[in-house]
Amino acid sequence: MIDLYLCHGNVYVWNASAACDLRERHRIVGTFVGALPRLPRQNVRLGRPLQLMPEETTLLLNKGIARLLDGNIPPKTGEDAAQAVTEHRQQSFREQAEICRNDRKRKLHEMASVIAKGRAAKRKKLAQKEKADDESSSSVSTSDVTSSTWDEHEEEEEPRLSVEEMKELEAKLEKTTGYNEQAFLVQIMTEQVSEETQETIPWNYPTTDTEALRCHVFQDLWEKGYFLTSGGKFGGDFLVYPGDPFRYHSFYIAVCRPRTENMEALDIVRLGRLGSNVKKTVLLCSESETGEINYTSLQWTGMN
Amino acid sequence: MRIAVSQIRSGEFVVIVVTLQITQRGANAQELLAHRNLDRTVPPRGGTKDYAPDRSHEQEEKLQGMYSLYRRMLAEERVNKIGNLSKAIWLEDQGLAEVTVDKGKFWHHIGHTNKGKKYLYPEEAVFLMETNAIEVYWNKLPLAIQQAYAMMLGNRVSMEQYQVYAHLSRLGYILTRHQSREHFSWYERQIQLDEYIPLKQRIKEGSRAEVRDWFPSNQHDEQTTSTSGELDKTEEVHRDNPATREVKSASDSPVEHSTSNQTPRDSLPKDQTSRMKGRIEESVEDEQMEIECNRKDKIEKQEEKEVNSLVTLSYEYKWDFTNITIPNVGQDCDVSEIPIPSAELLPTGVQVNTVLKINTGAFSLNTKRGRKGKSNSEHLSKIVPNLRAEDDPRKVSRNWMEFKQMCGAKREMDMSDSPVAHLWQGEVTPLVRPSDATDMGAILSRLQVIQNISLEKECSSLPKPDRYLDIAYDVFLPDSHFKKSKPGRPNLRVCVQRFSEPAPDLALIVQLNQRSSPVPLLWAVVDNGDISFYSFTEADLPADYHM
Repeated sequence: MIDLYLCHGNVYVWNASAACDLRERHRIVGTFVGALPRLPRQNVRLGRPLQLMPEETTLLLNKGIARLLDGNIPPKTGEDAAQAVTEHRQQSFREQAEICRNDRKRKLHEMASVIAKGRAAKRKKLAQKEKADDESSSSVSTSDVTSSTWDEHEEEEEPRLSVEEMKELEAKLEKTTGYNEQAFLVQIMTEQVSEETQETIPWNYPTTDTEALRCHVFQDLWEKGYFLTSGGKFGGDFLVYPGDPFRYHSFYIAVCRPRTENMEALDIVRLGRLGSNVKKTVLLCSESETGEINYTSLQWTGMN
Repeated sequence: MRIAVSQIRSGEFVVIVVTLQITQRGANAQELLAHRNLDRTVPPRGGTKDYAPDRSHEQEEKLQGMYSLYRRMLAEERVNKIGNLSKAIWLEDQGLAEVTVDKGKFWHHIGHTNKGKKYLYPEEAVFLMETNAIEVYWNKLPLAIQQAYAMMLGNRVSMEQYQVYAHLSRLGYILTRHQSREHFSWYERQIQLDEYIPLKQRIKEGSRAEVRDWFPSNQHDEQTTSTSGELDKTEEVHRDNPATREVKSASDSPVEHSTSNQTPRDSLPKDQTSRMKGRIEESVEDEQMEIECNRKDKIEKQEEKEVNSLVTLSYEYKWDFTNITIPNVGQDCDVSEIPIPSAELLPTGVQVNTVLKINTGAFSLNTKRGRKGKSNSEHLSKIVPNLRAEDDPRKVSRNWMEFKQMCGAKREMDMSDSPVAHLWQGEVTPLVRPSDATDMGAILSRLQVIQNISLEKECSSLPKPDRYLDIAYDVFLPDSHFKKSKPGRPNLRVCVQRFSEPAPDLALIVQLNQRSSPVPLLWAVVDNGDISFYSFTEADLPADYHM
């Protein structure tokens, strides 16, 4: 059961997997209105919460896919709640510290061979320097060179850190790893953590005839298998997509009109022009006397 | 905690994707640390879409790719080091968040101070939470974004207003709540007075010594009435202060004049003058204090100017304005009379016998540019009628028919020998006559059947708008030199509406544009999460044509 929250007149979905399920399984698209945590300062892709149209909410509640909860309930407060949060955080810090320490140890072991090579090279350089100081009086330099190369061949095998050296390095690591509380990671929760059961609240959406017509048209088109989003940008009530809006353009602009209302010719020309300019078909939707939805499409033809 | 590992083969590379499925209890340490190395790219908007679903495998793959990407992206949380997060406390009764720990650079353009404490408006606080910059506590509990939406928004800031605020702030604009008054006029800004007078001082001053409060109709009843004794006190203060020596010399004469001119004071309503004086004294005293404190020359000069103007008002007028009439040259009056002035005001030898009637309708300013000299003479002929008595149709004609004939006769006369005279024989006649072809302007003005009006001028004649709409925000372009103490004039103003609300009528548009001019006003219309911006500007059709 998907949880919808009514907050100051708008319906939001806060749970990430619920938002994805709504789209993937129930063909309800909605609009994301929050900042995306991965990249907050852009408007191309927004994140949670997902805001639903009132028609979408009505449909979900009617079909029993979701339930409506009160989004205005303040969190439970009190000393124990604050205490629980502090404890949870301290626990998290301890775990983070542990994981970081283990990470560093693991890295140390991975780099062991590199450290060993470096130490060996350093030792060799020191030895050579000492030799050069000792034999500075000797004029024969080539013998030195041959002797040094012969030394190299001897130590051809992989230099390794001895167990004592390893322990020494690990001890050093322990000393340098401090417990700086300012460096620990903390999360700003998006969704509210609530363990207790919540009561559903009533949904009073279609109050006027226009709203009821819109809901009915939305449900009818949804049942035919389309994806629907709000159509304000195109001057209509809904945009009707054959498939997910991620991958397809919309085919229709649905405009809801009561059956008894007279439409002016100017209205029809306006809608027809709009549709043809954006390469979409305008659907005039009205409810018949029997309660069915009738669709009329507008197509702009030239004069022949 | 569940970590799902999935493999995606793309070309040669096998990508192992770790999906974080953070449960409701919040992420644990492992997941928090995993947030350090997240992919920070978002799929771009745009690109080609398919036409229609055809159940093909490629389409299905692309769609599933999008779905899994979104699942990952949405599940990620806002994770930050404690050292980077600021802290604030939500004060519910005040509707503000008080900042206790301030890290990061947001204080440069967000927030305000009051009595030494730092505060954030609710929309600012929620925005900073969403951008992972601040933790807001309430009763010692850190709030989640869901709780912040419920508790902090909705009361003073509607959800739509917050959405517009967040949308523009994410793009980088600096938004402040709408300040309905510009405290410095354009002229003062030009002479850089705003650099010398701090905004706070101007706001404090402005509440007491405003020009419009000098007029009796705007007086409040609570103002203290003061007697003439107080005026003398301010004179004392004047003279004692060494810094105002220049002030004193300039204003000496009017001040002395006031003490001698006791009688004309009675001509104006007593309570009003005393009220006016009371207010002016307060501000005069203020000026004195400020002069003492500030030794800057420029401020002194400005204060001197103000004190001068205030002091001249505080003594009684030399003229009795109830007996002096000022002719009404407004647009509501067509003809006004200037009465004969009294003899003592005229220079010797000059006599005025008749009352002068002027056609004030002709005083309306001609805003069209490029009027040639000919039209000036047209104007003059309206003001100073020099028609001879026999030519004046009003005097000569005995009835309406004759009057019309006489008025139209002059124009009719030219038609008889013109080759296009036949056009005027039917019922429908052309608007333009050959005699009108003096210049393009004359022809175009004849053709202008529907008069263009400028909405700004005519806005008083429009009916009152049916509802009241607030301008929500002042928008400034992203600027590193932006100072909260002296923001200056905003680049844009925004007012917010829901899509379901009715569209604004002409009166509302004109009223809001006026309120916001010269700054352009944008209307942000929120349609269930989608924001569109509209603006209404006056378009000018060409009125004159220069060849």
